[in-house]
Amino acid sequence: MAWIHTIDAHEATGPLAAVYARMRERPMPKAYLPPHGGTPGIIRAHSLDPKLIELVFGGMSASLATDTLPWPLRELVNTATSRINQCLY
Amino acid sequence: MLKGKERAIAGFVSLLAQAPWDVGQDDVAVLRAAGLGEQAILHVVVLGAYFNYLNRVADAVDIEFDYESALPRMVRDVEREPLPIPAPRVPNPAPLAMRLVERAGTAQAFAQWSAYVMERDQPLTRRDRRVIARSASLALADGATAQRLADAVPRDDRECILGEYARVLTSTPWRLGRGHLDSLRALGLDDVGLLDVISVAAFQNTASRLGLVLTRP
Repeated sequence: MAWIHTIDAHEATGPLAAVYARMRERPMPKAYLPPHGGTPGIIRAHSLDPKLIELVFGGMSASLATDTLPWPLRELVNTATSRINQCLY
Repeated sequence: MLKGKERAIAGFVSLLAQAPWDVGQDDVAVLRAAGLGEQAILHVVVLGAYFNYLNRVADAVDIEFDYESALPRMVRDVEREPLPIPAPRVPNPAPLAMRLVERAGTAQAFAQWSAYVMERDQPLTRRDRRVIARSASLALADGATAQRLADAVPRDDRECILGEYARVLTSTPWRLGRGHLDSLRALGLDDVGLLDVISVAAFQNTASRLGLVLTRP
């Protein structure tokens, strides 16, 4: 269980439900869709601040999902960074 | 084993993650020699800097890994020490002669994110945010930011605790535990406030890496 309160999609209301719906509408590689079908944990981690979700994932993440770097190399950046930071996620 | 372009990228972002103050023109040249153009290099830098934010939020909140992966589960070495932090330099090294505005969409997104994180009055005060950001920037030898936030030296126990959390999140995120958040809860912060602390400290991990590597506008 997370160390701060998080809210999954089926519990979300108001602005959080709306931003979750917008996140689901984004085109997404299958590898980014968790098998449980709910909200990915990294987005859920931000669930107490729907505006932050919009800015981080709707803004920054979306702006970096471009082919100036092909997807496999973007994944390499993400994986290598996580590895050296010893981040399981 | 990685080769060519993949090896160059993996090496570069590993340095950006561990010791961004050490990224130099030679490191950028390795990416060019591997066949990356300037826009691709900029993309590597910004994406790598941004993923340092996501990693730290994941560790600070302790979310469960919920994707399918064919990779073996990584075993953390919590005893691993961070690399020694040098004294911050001003101006920052800026070895890549590119600006964030050369990715217009990302520059706009970053500006909006920065304003939201640093220019609000609740749940954290603006001073709290500056204290946290300064601490994170010092842990990354980001002299320019530390100089800009020179007024945010912790002046009481509360600010020392905020600053220390930012330092641990920045330098040894693999050591973050529930106890670190309990120290913040003892200051009277609720979970919304805790997320704000995490957000500011982790944001600065992106901002400082960008500031150390890219040319400022």
